Amino acid sequence: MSVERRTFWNAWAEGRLLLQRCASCGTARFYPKPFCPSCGAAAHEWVAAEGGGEIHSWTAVHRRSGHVPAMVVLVTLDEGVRVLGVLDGAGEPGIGERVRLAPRRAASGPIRFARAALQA
Amino acid sequence: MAGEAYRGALLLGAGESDLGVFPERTTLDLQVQAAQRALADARVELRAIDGIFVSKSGELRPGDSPAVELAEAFGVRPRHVDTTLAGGAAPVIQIARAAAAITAGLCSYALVAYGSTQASRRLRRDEGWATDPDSDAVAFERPTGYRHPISVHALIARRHMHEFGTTSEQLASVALSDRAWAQRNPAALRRAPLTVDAVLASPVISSPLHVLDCCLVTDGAAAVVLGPGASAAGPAVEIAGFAERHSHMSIVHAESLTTSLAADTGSRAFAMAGFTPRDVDAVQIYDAFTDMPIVLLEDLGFCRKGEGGPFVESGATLPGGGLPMNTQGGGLSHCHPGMYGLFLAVEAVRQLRRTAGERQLERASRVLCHAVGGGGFGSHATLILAAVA
Repeated sequence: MSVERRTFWNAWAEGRLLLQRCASCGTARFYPKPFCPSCGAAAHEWVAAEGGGEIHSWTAVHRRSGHVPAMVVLVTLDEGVRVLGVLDGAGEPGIGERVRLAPRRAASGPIRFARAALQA
Repeated sequence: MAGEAYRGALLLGAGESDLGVFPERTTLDLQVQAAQRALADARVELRAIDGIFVSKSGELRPGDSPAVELAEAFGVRPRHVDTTLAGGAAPVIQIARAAAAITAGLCSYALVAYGSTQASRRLRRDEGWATDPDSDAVAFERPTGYRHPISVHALIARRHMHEFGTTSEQLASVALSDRAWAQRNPAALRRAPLTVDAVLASPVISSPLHVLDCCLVTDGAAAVVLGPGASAAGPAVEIAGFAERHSHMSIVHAESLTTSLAADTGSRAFAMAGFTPRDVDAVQIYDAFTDMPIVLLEDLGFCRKGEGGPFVESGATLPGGGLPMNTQGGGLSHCHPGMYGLFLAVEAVRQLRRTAGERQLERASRVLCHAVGGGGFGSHATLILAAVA
């Protein structure tokens, strides 16, 4: 596993989603990578995503009849990066709906979200 | 006026293997059959082939050399091979690679082939083909339970509906258009009449896409032969315009879900060709899922952004319509062995050489092919072919 990937999963297991912010041009990036796709610089700092985001698109994935379909969401985090994850809870979401990261303190994926309106 | 890089070559012939599910035949068997048919169509001797271009999809293994494998099977010793990998766009890109190689003198006669036995070998599993644990797809995306690549296009379709009001009925009209053409193609695997209601009543795989919004999963192969000048086979075909562009493997890195780099490759290919979308007689548009032609027709300039749904729903792409599309039946009704790109070009060559049988278009002097690959429009290739007068 790459150094960057290990850093990411270690933090994810503690309930934080880490992004990398380029030390040279300031661009936030995800997935974890050794250099910035905007400017090529390697220097970066790890920043924990604040947790908020907005549904850019979604699809209910049906595998077997009778099973509850998985709600797969493409979310634009407030930091500007897109994340593919799973939305917890029942019902169909809407594009533009606010969601929050819902970490499960797992050692691997998927990245989970909950509907912001149903929290707090 | 062909682009300088491609003007020294012509497409001379094209062929397809038997199409279907063949547990007792190999990918190589099917490639050989398609190549033999293409060579016969082109009236080019096998011994003349000194360039071989073969891409590969699900069956690809480390150490594979699919172009050399085909050379070995034919007993020829090419002085130029190419195994470009860019998803479904690769075989269309390889036609341009072959034309450029001939123009540059690297080879004289080129065979571009693609084949797959993905259906009989059951390679198309839910999780897709990603197996490398170092890949982002395996680490982050497969655990969501999404179905690759269907769910990626489901996300695109949903977003297109949100932004432009595209409907499930309009998506279904793409499948109907393909089916209407397939009914005129004896080789197409799905030829029974199809209705919008039947598409919408078919099981949802990854909403909003139903089973009948998704391409067939079949075995099959296709091949195209290029050479430095016309052969004895009658009308030949030239590359009037070509452009490719690549951006991403994962949908999270797509700048936009609903505007693709086809807008770039289309305008560059038309600039090379010296004409516009209005001057094209027919289009062959990659259609693994029904959202794809809707987005791509918009980006290529055949209708305005957001109007791809109403455009197809209007019947424009049907037999007798103003812009015949996927006249062999497309990936939704003809066949779809993993990567469909080369089948687009085979049909374009047939229409331009007027060998398309019952579905032959009256006017067929310029045909545009557009193939895509990668995780949701990550790779694009626009190939505009023209009959040589």
